[in-house]
Amino acid sequence: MNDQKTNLDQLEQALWQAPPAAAPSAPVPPVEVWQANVMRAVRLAAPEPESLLDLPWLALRRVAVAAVLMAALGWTAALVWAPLRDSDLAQAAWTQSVAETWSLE
Amino acid sequence: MQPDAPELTDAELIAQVRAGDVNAYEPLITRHREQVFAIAARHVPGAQVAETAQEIFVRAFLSLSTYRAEKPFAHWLSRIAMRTCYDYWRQQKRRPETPASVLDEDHQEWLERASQGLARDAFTHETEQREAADVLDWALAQVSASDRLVLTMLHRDGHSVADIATLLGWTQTRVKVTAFRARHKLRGILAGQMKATR
Repeated sequence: MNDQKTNLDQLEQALWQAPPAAAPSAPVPPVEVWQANVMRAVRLAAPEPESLLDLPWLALRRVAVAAVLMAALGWTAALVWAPLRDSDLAQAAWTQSVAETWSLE
Repeated sequence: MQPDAPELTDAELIAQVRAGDVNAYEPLITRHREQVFAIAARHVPGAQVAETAQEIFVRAFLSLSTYRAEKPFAHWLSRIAMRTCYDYWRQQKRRPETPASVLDEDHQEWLERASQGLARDAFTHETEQREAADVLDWALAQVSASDRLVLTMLHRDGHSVADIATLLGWTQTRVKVTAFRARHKLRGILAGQMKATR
């Protein structure tokens, strides 16, 4: 048991004393190329500033999108409401006819 | 490439980047790339160093709004670098198709010699170094990303517990507990392998 512990201690010590694996297995690009790639990635990731000239267009676009959405919502509501309204009318007609029938009797 | 502007401090360059001048980020990369490459080279495989270093700088750029000037930029960048290396291993762990490295006869022999205390003086030999590094990689591939990171920072890089806690944003207790458990796991893996070779 003690032997095993000693062996493990020695193995562990040897492993951590080993220098980290050295040579990269893929070619590393020249530093200028690498840095240019980083800057390209950074520019792509950077949020685009909304310039003042763009603002009226942006506002107009937002208003147009809102108007289309409102119209779509109204149209959907009308579609849903129509059968309900019709069924209300049908219900009223049926109630009236029943009442008339009973009153005749 | 834009020339480095030595007259501007890191804080001044960061202020320019925050104000919308993306090009002001380039001198920061030039200034700190060696440090970032050194961290990446110690914690990810050689083939991934350049890509990881790029990821670190992009992440740092996107997080610049959270940087507070009380601490040096280099220190803040180191934290992002460590976190990126940690995420690399977490992603590797999630990929079941990643082939697990195996130990060949030379590695088994090295294990045997090292456990007898015979390999330590032989690290000047390139083959011995590679075998030791392979065995360590093989063993570390079997522990979690956080275990791997804490073990390498503590035992190979020689960081203190306090340093690791600061770099990873953990408490010192968490670092100690993780290091203790990870070492126990690693010894179990090595013991299992030694038994299998006999």
